[in-house]
Amino acid sequence: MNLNDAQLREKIARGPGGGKNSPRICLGCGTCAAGCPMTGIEGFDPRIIVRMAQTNRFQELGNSVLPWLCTMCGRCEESCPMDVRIVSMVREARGMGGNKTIPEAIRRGIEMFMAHGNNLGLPDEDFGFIVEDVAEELTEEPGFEDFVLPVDKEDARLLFTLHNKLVNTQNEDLKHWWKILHAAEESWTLPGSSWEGVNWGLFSGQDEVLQAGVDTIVKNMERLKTRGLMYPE
Amino acid sequence: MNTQDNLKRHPGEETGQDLNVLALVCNWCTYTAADLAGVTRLKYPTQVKLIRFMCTGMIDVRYILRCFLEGADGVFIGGCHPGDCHYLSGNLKARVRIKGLRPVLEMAGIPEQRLRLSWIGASEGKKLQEELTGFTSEVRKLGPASFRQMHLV
Amino acid sequence: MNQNVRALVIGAGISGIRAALDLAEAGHSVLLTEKALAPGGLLLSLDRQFPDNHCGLCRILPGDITGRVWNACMRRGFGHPDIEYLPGVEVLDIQGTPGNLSALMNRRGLKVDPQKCTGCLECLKVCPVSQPYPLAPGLGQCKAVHPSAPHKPDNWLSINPDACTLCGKCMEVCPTGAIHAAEGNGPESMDKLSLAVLATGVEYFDPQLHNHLGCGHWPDAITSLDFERLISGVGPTRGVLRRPSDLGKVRKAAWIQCAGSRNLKLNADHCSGICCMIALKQALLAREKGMQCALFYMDLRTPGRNWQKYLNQAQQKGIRLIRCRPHSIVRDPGEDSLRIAYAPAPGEQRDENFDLIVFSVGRDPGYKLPAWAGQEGVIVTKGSERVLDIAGSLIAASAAAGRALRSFSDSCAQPGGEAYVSEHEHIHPSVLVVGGGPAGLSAALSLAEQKTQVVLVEKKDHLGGHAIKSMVPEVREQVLELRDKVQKHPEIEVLNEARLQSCTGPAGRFVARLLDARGHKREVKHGAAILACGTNPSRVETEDPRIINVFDLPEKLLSPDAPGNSSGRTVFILCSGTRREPADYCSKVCCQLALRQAIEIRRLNPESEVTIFYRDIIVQGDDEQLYTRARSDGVCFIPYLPEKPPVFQAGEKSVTVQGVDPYLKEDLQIEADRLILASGVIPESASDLARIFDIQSTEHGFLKEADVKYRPLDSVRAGIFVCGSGRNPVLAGEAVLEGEAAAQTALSWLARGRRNWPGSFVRVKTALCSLCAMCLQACPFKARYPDEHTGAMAVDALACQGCGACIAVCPNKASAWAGQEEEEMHELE
Repeated sequence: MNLNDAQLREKIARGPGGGKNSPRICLGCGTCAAGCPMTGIEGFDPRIIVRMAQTNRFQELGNSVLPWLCTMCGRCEESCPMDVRIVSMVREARGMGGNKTIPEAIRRGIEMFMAHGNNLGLPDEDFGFIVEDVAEELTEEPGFEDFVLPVDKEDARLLFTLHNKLVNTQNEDLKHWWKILHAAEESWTLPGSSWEGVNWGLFSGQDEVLQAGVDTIVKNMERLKTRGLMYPE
Repeated sequence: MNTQDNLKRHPGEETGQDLNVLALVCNWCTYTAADLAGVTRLKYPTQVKLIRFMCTGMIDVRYILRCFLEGADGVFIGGCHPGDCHYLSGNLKARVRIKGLRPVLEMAGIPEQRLRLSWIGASEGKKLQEELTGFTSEVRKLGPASFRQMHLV
Repeated sequence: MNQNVRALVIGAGISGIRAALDLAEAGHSVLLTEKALAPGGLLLSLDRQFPDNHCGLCRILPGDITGRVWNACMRRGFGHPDIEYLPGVEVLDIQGTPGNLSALMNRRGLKVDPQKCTGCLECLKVCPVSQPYPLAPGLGQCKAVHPSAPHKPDNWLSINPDACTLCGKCMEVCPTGAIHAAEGNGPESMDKLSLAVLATGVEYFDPQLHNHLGCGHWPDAITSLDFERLISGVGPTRGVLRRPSDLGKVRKAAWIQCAGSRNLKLNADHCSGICCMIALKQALLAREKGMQCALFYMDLRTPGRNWQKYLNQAQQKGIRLIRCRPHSIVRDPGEDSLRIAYAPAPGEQRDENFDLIVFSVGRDPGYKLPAWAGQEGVIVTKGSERVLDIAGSLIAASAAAGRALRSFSDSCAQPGGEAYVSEHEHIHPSVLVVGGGPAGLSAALSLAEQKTQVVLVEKKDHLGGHAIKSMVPEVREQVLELRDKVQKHPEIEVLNEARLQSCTGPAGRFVARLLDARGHKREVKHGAAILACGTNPSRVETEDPRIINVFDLPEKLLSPDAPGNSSGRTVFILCSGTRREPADYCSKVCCQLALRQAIEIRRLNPESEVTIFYRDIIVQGDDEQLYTRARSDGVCFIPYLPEKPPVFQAGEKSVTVQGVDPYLKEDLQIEADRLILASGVIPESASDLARIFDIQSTEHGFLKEADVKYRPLDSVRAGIFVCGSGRNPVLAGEAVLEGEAAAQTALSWLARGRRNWPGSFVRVKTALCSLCAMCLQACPFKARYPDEHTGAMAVDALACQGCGACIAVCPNKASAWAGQEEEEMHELE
């Protein structure tokens, strides 16, 4: 992000969402810190986040580990009497740190996603094999002999995205909701590529990654002419 | 009708009243508490007779002495808490006066337990009940005052 | 008495009673309505009030024991010959024009006849309805028929019309037939009312309804109003603190401030003003009973000359004041009590258990006045718009009564005049107002508009005080308007550059001696005096032009033509040298002034940096929005502890200010271009005035009133009144209100001169008087003076309140009740 000092200050001052939610309006009452599960751990306190935003030290905050200690649970925001959007602020700070502060696992996941359309870096062919395997296993269960896995089916009602663990270590869990969809005679499909449902641009504070994730889903929907999106994440 | 007649009407022998306790109370706080005690059915001993003054600050020590001389076994003075006095500082004057009166009573042969000064607020009906009941018991332990038999006045 | 004015006062709480008394004492006939059966409103629940934990409810009654007014504790009721009290009546609507208003009133439902009710309570046994206990909804339930007010011997039972289902079971079992349908079971109209005063108070925030902090589940999380009942001697537990859930002992209690206030999520961008003091009082009372108490707050708002000391007292008595807001209330299963999570310092999170949690509730954000309250002829007291304490409510009520009378100008009372008190005494029908600031101007105008002669004395060469230079346009305009009206009014004589020298004479026949602008002596006879001398900013001792007193922040610094004057870095230090000995009080006006200035600096110079170091931001009511706005506009706020204030040093290039940021736990240093100090106000003229008028002044030199809660504008001397900042630091708008109220109080006093005064309560047997002057010392109302004609002490009949202190203290038995013989004194029946 290449903003000069004054612009940066204004952006932070306006705050994500703008206006009332600006960090400036914080009174320092500490309600957030009282409800935060991370207060006191490695020196974390949501008041510090807001204060650094207030005092134009946001870049410094972004360069530190503090934004990554937050679990983004939202307990602070829910109770804040001044309606400060602390979670959004944390996200914003994460983005300012750039690649230097993003935890390794997430950084690599994002790299994989940008290159291959999913956080594991799994080639589309391998993806196909895995899901077809699971589908075949399902047909061996009584009542689901006629189950057919829709992949890249056009004109379906719902497009499904997947959490990457479902094609990694937790394949079996795929069956649970496939059974429901089958019994409900739902019209749905998986995309054959760019099937990733977990958008780590949300966590990293990188809007371009967030955007990319959304773009791929939209492109899939346009390509397959699906009418609706089922986004379990 | 004067005090003497009043007290004579209830000698212990005729009506079973063994004691005479006079409670000199201020019109504002303590009398209100007495009314409250009545409304909320709080009982205090029948030996106690209430006499209402506008303020404890107007209770001359002569009245207190007169009560004892005319046969009272105990005198209870009830006023507002310091700071609550309707006339600002009357109760504080009462406090000073009674402090000065106690050695005089002792010299006259009246033990100071027969005189009690208590602050009762308007909402303290229960406290008034407790104070009057407690005071009457204390006076009973001391027995009838020696002045009563003397008919000094 | 002017029979043409028929005033309606709606609401018989402390404000309604005060307004009704003012109107009645000024000679008008008053109808006082009240929804409940007992008068007194909220005060029926409050045994003790801050800042001295006393009760003085009886003191608002006019000091007149001739039998006109019922002289007893107001908790039992009150009576006045010119006030018709209508209990159990709700006003639904008002229509018409001033002078000819109609009020629609409702007396629905069943009623208990106080003459027949014996209090046997059979009706309670059969009533099928359960409702929240009206005086303390959080503490439990009671029947629809219930004792109406603890002290009232008559009218003891009342039936809540909102809860009553009209099943009639109570009527069947009542042995004396005391329960009957209210007359005319429907709304009726009361016509030909001249004016109406609305004094119903506000509605309070209900934390249970909003599940505030998760309290909806826990019966031991109650409101501050509920707590008053718990600790009251006539409450459900007779003053013993017990937990509502199981009546178990309360060992530890917590107060949570700002419930329903200072919360944008609830649309409550306001401060309710007095909850801090209420909580301190409750904690102190609980502490007296041995509880451990903790108070969770953001800013402790203790403005004015005597509330700071209360805060100090709380700290000394061991009440824990914890500066943070808790997150939520949960039940600790292991301990069978409630648990609060809070974070008192960065990185510190604590859990603590409490038996009782008290929410300090303020005005409900959704509260609105009824639609008909806005129409002409209806005056709304300030206490019905926002939460006020007792003194504030009484002042606002008197001001409202005055405003109502002035707006209905045909009916203005004729005080003083020809009526004689007795052969020798009367009250001179004019008023001396000392001080030409907003309070003095307002008082003078209020009196003049009610056809009373005024002499206004001001020591400077212009009127308007400090307020005329205020940076707030509304304040400036209001004061300028007052000044113009005062200068033009034929009933007001203005003496600028006048110096008061002395004031002598008994109550109602005062003579003031002064030197006018040319140095000539003047004598001003007056029946009443209103002292409104105000205060002055305390000095900031420095030659450095960069270190500025917040009151002196020159207008050119904030002028839009020269915005550069306030560019760069500006630092404010609030409570500089004040709120600690020797000036251990809060001057109230500095915080809101600093906020306004900070907002203006930011507006003129968007690139500038503004930092405010503060102890507590003390603003109340809607002024909270100034604080919210200042923060939104980018002003940086840094709280500091009184033990560790920021320090500053004037250097060549800048003023270096060093402090600590408590959130980041860092030392910080600011190279400021200017430093603004808020060091408060001092009452420079007040002690002189107190001496001249023989009234008391406080330890800090403010004018002292007869009772800080219940008689805030009277001095101990009858006929001498005090108002404005000279009495207690107030904002300009509040000073104007106090001036109006003082004027009304003075008018009630002057009206005595028209009544047939029966003479003195106390007489002196001059032959026995030895002029020892013990009576003079004993009298709290300065009603005794040596009379040169008789050679003995005399009684100032109009000042005497009939307490009898002088009678008790005279060593020669020279003082006696008028009309009583010596022997009768000892007729103790």
